[in-house]
Amino acid sequence: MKLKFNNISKKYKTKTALDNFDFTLSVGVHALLGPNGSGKSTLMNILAGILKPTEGNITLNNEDTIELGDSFRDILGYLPQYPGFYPSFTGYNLMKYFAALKGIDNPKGKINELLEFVNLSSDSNRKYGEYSGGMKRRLGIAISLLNDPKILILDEPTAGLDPKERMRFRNILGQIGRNKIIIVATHIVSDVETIADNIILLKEGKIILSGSIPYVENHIKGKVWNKKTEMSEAEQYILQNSNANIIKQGDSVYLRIIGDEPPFEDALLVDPTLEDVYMYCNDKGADVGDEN
Amino acid sequence: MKILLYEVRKLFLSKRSFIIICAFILQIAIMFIPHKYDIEYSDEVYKKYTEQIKGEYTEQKRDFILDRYDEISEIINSYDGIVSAYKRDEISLEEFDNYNFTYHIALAEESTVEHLIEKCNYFDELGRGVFFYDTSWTDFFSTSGYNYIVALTIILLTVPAFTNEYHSNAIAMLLTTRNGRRKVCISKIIIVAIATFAIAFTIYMLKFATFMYIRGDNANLGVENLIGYNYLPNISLKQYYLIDTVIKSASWVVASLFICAISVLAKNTVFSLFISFIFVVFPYYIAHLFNGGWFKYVFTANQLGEMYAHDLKLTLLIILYITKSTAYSIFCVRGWEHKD
Repeated sequence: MKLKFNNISKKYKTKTALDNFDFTLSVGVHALLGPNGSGKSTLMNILAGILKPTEGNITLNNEDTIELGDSFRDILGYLPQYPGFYPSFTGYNLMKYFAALKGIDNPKGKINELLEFVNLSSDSNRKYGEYSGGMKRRLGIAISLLNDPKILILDEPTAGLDPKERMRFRNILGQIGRNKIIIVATHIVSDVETIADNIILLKEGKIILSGSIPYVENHIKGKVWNKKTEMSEAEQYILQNSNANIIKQGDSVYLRIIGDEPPFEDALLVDPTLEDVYMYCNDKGADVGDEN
Repeated sequence: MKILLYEVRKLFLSKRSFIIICAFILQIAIMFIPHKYDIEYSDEVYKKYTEQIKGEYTEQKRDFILDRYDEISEIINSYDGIVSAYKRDEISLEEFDNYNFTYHIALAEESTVEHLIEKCNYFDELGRGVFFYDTSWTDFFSTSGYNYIVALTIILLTVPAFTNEYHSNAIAMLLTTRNGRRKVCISKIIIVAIATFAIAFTIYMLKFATFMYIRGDNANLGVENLIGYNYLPNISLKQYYLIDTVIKSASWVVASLFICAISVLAKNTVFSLFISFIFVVFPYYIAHLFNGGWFKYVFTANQLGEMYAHDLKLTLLIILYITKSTAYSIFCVRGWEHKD
């Protein structure tokens, strides 16, 4: 299964939200990383058929997804950034409603199975308006899985959730079958670093780096530095430089700095993480790199 | 069918049902507010005479009214002579008091009896007629034009039917499902149309029922007995109101589909409410500037502002309503399927 984005651009009056996005996705978990306004949601909306691209098209196994129409929607699961449902509907009724929308006959078994999967069985008769943010997201993913989609789009699935709910959400994502194309758009690196097979870094509507996690980490090898320091000195450095993090380990304080040159004489080179890549690319804007 | 039922449920979410119930109660309550009739004659005198002459219009009744008018004219015309005679002591104080009493009664009855003569002339022209106390009916019809309770209820109910999906962002998930595009939109249009007709019809009929309870008699008599309604032979007062209610309710359906189209275009509740008000309520006032004519066919609101009249071309109206409804619905479906 190949999902191909062919030079997708989306232009508004004065802004280009996506600029010639050209990429091919195959089965696996793909993390679309980028800051707010980088074009992630626009891309997700175009893929979901909600927005029309200004230029370009998307093909699934060489067939245009717009022309595929309902048959494409039948294999699509989509959880938008802020899914809003009807507060007076119960969780179960919402599942039934979306089962009807997705044209699923006799959905009872599937609904119960998915509610169990997202740990909402005991709350299924509560009204959606009474659900917590985490419960709403879990219900959202259950709804998006109702039709057993081959392509699953999750737009900022953990935005606004507390750490416990984020962890729970990551576990759910990890359990979803691997025979799908799963696209997770997020700006929270920790959400995807343990589950993504492929990373796509977006900035200002353009791909700036893509590939497997080892590949993208390798892209900035030799550019991540660690320095043991005092808290006051670390805070002073952070104020003047945006390319650094303070890390506390016990009583020790470290500055983790991303840069082409060693920031201090006694700074030590360390292995980059995905978060370092994200920071480096967003701070400096990396040359386009594509593992494929 | 399932989707249609879910749309019913979404449309009548608890708060919106509350709006409808409030509208029903308000319509009934308004009818109980004391109301002064806007007429040029004395309603009390008219009531007295119509009690006296109620029933089929006859020559005798006409003569009775004309005789009474002559009597009144004579009393009024003799005023100067009587005053002079009293000043010259030709009549006693008691006789003058008696005259004064009848003179004031004559003055009070003059315009009413003139109205009765006008009614006799109308019946003569018609070739038949029934006398009955009809002020309450003419007043009821004259105040049954534009109904703001229906207007507000329909606007408040219709706008969120679409804009809520945009506000909650449910639209994003709806549009990615097989049936969430055209079928949901068409279901919404159907439910809004049915609900609009039902709500408008119910409010108008509640108004009628309350009127009948308070001061409505003779509902089975012909509407042609009211001056100016001779173009509707063999139609009773209640049938006339029913016909008018059906036309108005259908007009509200067209107006609600227009509101749907506006809501899909604006994707914003406040803006849609504002635009709906401008286009559904305001043209009614504009129509007055143009004194009806062709203008009343342009904006649906104008049919909502007046009772069914003889110069209303029903065939043209039906064609226009079907055309408008189709255009608004197509616009709605096309707008719904594209978020940007």
